[in-house]
Amino acid sequence: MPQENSTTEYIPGRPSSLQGKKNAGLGDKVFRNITLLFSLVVVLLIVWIGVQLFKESSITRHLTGISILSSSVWDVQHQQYGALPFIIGTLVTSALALLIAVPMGLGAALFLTEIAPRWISTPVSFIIELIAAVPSVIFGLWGFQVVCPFLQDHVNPWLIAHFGSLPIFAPPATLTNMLAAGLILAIMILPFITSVSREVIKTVPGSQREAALGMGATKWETVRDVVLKGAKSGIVGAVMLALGRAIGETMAVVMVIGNNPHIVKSLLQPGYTMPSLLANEFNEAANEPIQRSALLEIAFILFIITLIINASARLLILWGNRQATGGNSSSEKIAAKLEVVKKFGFPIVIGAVCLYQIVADVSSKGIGGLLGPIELVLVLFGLSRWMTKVCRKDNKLWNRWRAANHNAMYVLFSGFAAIACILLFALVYYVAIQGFRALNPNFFLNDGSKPPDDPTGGMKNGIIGTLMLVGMGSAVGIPIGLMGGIFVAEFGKGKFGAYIRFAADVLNGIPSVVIGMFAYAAFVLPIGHFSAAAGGAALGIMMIPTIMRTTEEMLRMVPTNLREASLGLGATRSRTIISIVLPAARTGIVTGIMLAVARIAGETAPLLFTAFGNQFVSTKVNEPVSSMTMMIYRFATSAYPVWIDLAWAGALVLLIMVLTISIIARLATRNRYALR
Amino acid sequence: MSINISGKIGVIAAAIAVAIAGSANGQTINGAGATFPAPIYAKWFQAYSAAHANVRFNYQPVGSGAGIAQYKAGTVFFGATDAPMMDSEMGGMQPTLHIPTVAGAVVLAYNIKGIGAGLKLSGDVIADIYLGHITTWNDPRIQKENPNITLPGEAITVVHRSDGSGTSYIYTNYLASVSNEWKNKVGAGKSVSWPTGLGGNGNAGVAGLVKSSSGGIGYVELAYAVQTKLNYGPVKNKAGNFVLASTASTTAAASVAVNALKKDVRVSIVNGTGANTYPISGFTYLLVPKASKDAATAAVVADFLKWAMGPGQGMAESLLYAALPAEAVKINEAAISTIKVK
Repeated sequence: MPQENSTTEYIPGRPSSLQGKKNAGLGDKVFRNITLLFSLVVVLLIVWIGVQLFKESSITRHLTGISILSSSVWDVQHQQYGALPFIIGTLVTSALALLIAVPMGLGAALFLTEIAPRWISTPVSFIIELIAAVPSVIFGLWGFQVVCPFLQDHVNPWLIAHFGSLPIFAPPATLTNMLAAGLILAIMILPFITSVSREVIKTVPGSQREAALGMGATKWETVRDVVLKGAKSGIVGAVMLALGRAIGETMAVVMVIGNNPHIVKSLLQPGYTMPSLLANEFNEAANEPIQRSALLEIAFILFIITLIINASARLLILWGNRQATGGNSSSEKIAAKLEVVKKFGFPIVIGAVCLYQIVADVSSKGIGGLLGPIELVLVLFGLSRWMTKVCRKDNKLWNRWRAANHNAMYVLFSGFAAIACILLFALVYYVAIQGFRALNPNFFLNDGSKPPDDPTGGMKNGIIGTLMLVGMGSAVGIPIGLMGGIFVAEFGKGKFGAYIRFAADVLNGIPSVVIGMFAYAAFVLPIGHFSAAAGGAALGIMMIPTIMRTTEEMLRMVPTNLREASLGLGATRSRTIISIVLPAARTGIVTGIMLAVARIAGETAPLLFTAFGNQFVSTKVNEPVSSMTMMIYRFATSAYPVWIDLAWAGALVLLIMVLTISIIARLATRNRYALR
Repeated sequence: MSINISGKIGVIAAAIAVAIAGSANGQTINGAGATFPAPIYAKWFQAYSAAHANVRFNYQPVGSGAGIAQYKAGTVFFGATDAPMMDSEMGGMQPTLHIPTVAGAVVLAYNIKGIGAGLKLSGDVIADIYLGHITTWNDPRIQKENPNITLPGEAITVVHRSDGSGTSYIYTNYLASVSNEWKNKVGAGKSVSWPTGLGGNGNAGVAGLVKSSSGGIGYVELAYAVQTKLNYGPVKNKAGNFVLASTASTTAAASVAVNALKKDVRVSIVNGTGANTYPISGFTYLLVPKASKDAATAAVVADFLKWAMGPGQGMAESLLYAALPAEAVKINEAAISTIKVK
């Protein structure tokens, strides 16, 4: 560790600083209070965002009161604003995403922690984490251009043929629909569920596993009865965190959901979510006071929902970590209640659905209808129950059955991890193939002002805009995040620090589209026009919590003996932090900054209301600028082959940028862990 | 502080310095609004900038609704809309001129397996498709108007705009004029509560959705349908003739309104009289401030508008827009001369 050698040189040179202890105490206080101020920015921002949204939505709150939540008519023409279709759309797509992503993510996490050897689990978890870095507009482009046509050609007809009599799969199917949105969301939240579950599962003590295995349980039985039970609340926390993401996701959903402001029963029909409504309508509502207020109220509802979900998720994860190491008392009661629902609720609902489908199959196709997929699954299920019963009677058979179960579950988990990797490869593959085909020097040399039949258009304006916006975002986000992180790690030991840490996590969970609306009200309107500066500010706000939390975590990893050595030699607290602790944690902090940069470089939604877009290259801070993400969004949904190609080329360049940053950042920390 | 971090901050500071210094040459005039005329505006701005190297127009096609909103909020210098503002909307804003620039036609572009261009549709059938009453392509009412075409039993996927749109305004005004049910249930406007269908962003977004949805139908400006090679057919007009959208049939619709134009340029020309009139047509407008504080920019915009009324009109036909009737050009020129440029 070269940096430790160099930092230790500081201390012997200043033994005299013992004399200036009173002055040093003052310096420490000043330093502490400065970092405190920076850390309070997080709390201030949450309050500011909340108050701004609340204040500006007063018209509809007074006009319609609570009925905005229950009214299902959204009719701008007749000034009727009901949010129910959007709330339902958001809940349905998020629930669908969880339904797909939770078993897969959990299975993949179990594969990575319990099954896979190190040489597999390290690269696979690396790949799954990279999915999290893919910008949502690229998911949208891939979803709209590749996944939606695939579903429409192959999956939707199959669903209609076999399950069409169930209202949720009723025909006709449309190209963009709720199912597509749920699927894309599932892929997007998969890495969150996997990586957080992995962390939680790791906290289950090895001794518990060993005890179960020692008593003769198979590894699967150990996982089911010991590991999953121990990690339960942590996993629920992970799921809720993912739910928060799914609810707030904007760009990917707006491109694949169909934007239909009505409540539909069928998943194959178009729907609408709250964030996509905000992205579509906020720019045109600036001077329609009632519509604007209704949109801001929806943003406020979204803000509150994500606040609650994120807060409870964080509490559950904290609780889970404690529970895994200590006893568990109050969670038992909740678990018991959930058990009742599991025992009676699920079988009744699933049984009713199956029965309905069987009746429908038989009545439409006669006896042959009994060969449908749902019937086959039911037969398999019945068969396995029957096998369990039979095998239980004979000890030898029973052991074989258990081993078979163990193997089946392992195959399943490995399959989930494999699917997760395949999905990322499919995405990267399409973006690479289409992007390289479309990429040419014009892409970097020309701007996007060319008409759609001119194939020489490019994204120079977007590239420069993105660099500018990220630069300005960093100028806001890095100092605040860094100083805030220092406060929480070094001075925030008590409850106060915990509150600030909590606030940072909550700020991190606020949907980016809501931050964009806030930035419009807070920066664009007072300045009087759209500008790169407003976009940079919005991105900066999004960077603060990420940088703050990683800085804090990295500082905490610096061994206390380094600090003690420095303090013991007479250095002041602030001196120790600046000269010893920060340099020791440098790599980790820079990594956190790079990850935050990668994240905001892929943001679209907050820029629509702030940076606005510019067909030309502009380097002026007070003028609208474009970004690669906004251009990809606009080009991807158009009908011109030239523009769609530009979108693919843009997606490739952006993906390479973002993934390179993420990979370098992650490799840097990996080496660091290896060294320690 | 560590070298890495301070180095990083240095880089950012440098980036900002570069950004502030910027390219100071030339003037960018920001505008936003309708996607309906975006192809011709792109051409105009390019041609005008080619002759005036120091002027650039940054036009963001975000939809008429957003164009009006951002113009009123003062975040852009000029707005563009196909839906003229009513007097009630203009209260409390800076004195503003509506300058009709060209007229255009809205066509119903469709994507039906095995069916080419030329599917005939009448107003009541179109309205019932958009109301969700007609749901398959081989519906007897569509078949009746197209006896020579064998229509498939494919489901119809209706596509509409998800943003506030002047194209929607023209289109829903047409639907309200041909269907009482539409008029009473849905109404006409920039953003209405669509009874059914997929929402796409902008004319390009609607064309994109129609193109990739088998069985899809959507309303787009003529230029978009032609550029994206989507099929469209003749629509029955008030006189009972099936007329195909073209510059000639749009010009016919525009010239019917000349007398009304003289009183107020904010006229509707949907479902107009005349044997060869295309029924779903409309003017598109630029919104410019009459007395902006920024007189220099106003002068450039006034000069551009004068140019658009002259050489600009000649470019309309090649992009499938109808040039303005000569009377309308005169009215516009008089209006443009009232813009305060000093």
